[in-house]
Amino acid sequence: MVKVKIDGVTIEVEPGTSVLAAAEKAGLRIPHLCVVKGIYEGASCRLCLVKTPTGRLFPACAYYVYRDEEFISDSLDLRIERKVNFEFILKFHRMECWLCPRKGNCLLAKLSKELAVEGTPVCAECPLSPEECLLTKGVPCLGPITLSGCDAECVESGGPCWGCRGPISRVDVLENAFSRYRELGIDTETILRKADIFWNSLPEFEVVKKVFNRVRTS
Amino acid sequence: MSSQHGSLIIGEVPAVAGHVDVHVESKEATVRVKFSATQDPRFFERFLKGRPSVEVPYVMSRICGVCSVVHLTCSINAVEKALGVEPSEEVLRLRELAKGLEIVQNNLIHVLMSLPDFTGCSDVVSFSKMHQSIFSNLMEANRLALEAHKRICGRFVHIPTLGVAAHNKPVSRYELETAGKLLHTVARKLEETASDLADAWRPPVEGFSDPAPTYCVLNGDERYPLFSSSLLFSDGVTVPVEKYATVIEEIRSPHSNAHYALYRGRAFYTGSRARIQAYSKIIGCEVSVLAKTLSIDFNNPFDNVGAQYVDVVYLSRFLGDLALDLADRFRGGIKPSHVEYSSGSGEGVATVTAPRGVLIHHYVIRGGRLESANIITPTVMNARHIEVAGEALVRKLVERGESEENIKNIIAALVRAYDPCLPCSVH
Repeated sequence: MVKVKIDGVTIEVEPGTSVLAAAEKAGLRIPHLCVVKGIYEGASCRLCLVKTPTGRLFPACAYYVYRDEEFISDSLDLRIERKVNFEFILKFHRMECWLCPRKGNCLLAKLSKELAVEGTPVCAECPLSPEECLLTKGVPCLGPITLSGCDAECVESGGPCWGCRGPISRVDVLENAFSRYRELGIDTETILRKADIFWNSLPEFEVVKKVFNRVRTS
Repeated sequence: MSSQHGSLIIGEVPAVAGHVDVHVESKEATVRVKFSATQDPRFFERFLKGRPSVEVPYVMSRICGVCSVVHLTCSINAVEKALGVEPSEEVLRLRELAKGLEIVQNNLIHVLMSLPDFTGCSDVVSFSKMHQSIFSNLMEANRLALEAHKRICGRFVHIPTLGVAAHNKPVSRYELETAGKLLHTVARKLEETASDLADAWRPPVEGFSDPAPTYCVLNGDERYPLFSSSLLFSDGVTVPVEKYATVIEEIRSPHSNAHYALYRGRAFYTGSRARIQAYSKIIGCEVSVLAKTLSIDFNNPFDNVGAQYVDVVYLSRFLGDLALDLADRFRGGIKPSHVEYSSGSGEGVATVTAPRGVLIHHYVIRGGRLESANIITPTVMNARHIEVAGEALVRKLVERGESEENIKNIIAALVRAYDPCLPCSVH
């Protein structure tokens, strides 16, 4: 048995255990995305970064301990590293959450809340399945163009999203969303007028309007 | 006040939501109390002009985060009246339930906030240490009321559950039953606590009688009215709500950003104290028993808080029965419903019972868009009455030879007894 010290918590584990498994055993949570025990341990998401007291960084899922060692799993620089890595992951994710079967139970949305990365729309947290989506019923819902993080409380209570958390600033997501509105025959003027209630004074709203005009004329 | 000529600036009243200054001036035998809402006006009535009528209620509910459901329901009712829409009966009942639940929870918070004033403790924390069981019971009742609110409305503030001619959230029979049981537990808990609380409960000034005992409530014959189509004043005058402007006059206050509402030129009050007096026949024996336990003097403006306690007990039981009755009638639960209507033109006035009194929303809609709006909130109705009562109170306190510091604290307590939440006055 070897002794591993993570964030001041000491735990005894079998030699060859990963730091992530040791942390889980100690009841500490290290954010991770790609690792699925026994299926994939390729350390590709790099969200589970931990560091030694000397400052060397390791992915916790792919670093195995064979001697007594100490790690830090939560610090400001680690959070920044994780945030940057997660932003890259989100950047290459095709965000059409309103059609996604994992809608309502999305790991990306949960992580974006945890790591304070703004990027996923409310649809990612919406409990309605793509078939039950309010948009398909013609309800002007702002979910596709609003930032997530509210657990889609309004939709859970039966109403559409009113956009109170502010607009998404990613142009590709906005383009997809407006195409979706057009596809379902929802008047985009209604959407913009509704968005105007909360976003009137936000500079990001100008971006939304520009994208909307571009989609309309294309 | 040390001298008979002078002014006393009480300044910003502490422990209230919003900003309000109180200024006392005395000159020879006259005392003048100025109640000024110093918050900037928010122009809700103005900036909503031209908005589609269906969106108006959701924005209007933002007038107050504490009483959002009350503003929402009142606004929805006014839009429906203007457009001539009739929602189904279960939708109306659910609306009543949602609003009543907010009154219960809201008044409970007011009672909790008033504890330092009424028990002589310096703050709520020291009260909670001295009277642990009372405090935990009150907090538990508040938690249960919130739980019931969540069952029916889904979330706590700015609920998207209610809409014009619609109810958006499915409410199952289980949820209705749970809410009903929770509300009965709230009533039981509060009744048990009343006798313990009575030992510690003393109004800041005892035996002070209201100098302007005119009140306004909603008119209800046999049922505690949460919605009504007419207003009832203490002198027996009943006015249909459409004609509210003939008796209630809103005037611009020279020293405040809020308006004053006067009843035929006189100050009047509204709120739980008025409700309990007006509906004593409807509420029945519960009032007399609880009021006696808490030794509430309905003529004392401070005892508005005590009246709220009684109000909460009655309302929790009333709403609990309503929820259980709905659960019984709709055994398969209540499904979301929507009535189709054409967004035309019209004028609509709606009144609802709000936690602190009577709320009036008056809209004129042309071509599906809001043309003009007028809102009279309970705080606006009470504003002049606070001044009148404050003047009588200062005179009484000066006679008793109270120190300036004491007068300051007692006047602040008077404002808090009426209303601990003032942003709606500058809507």
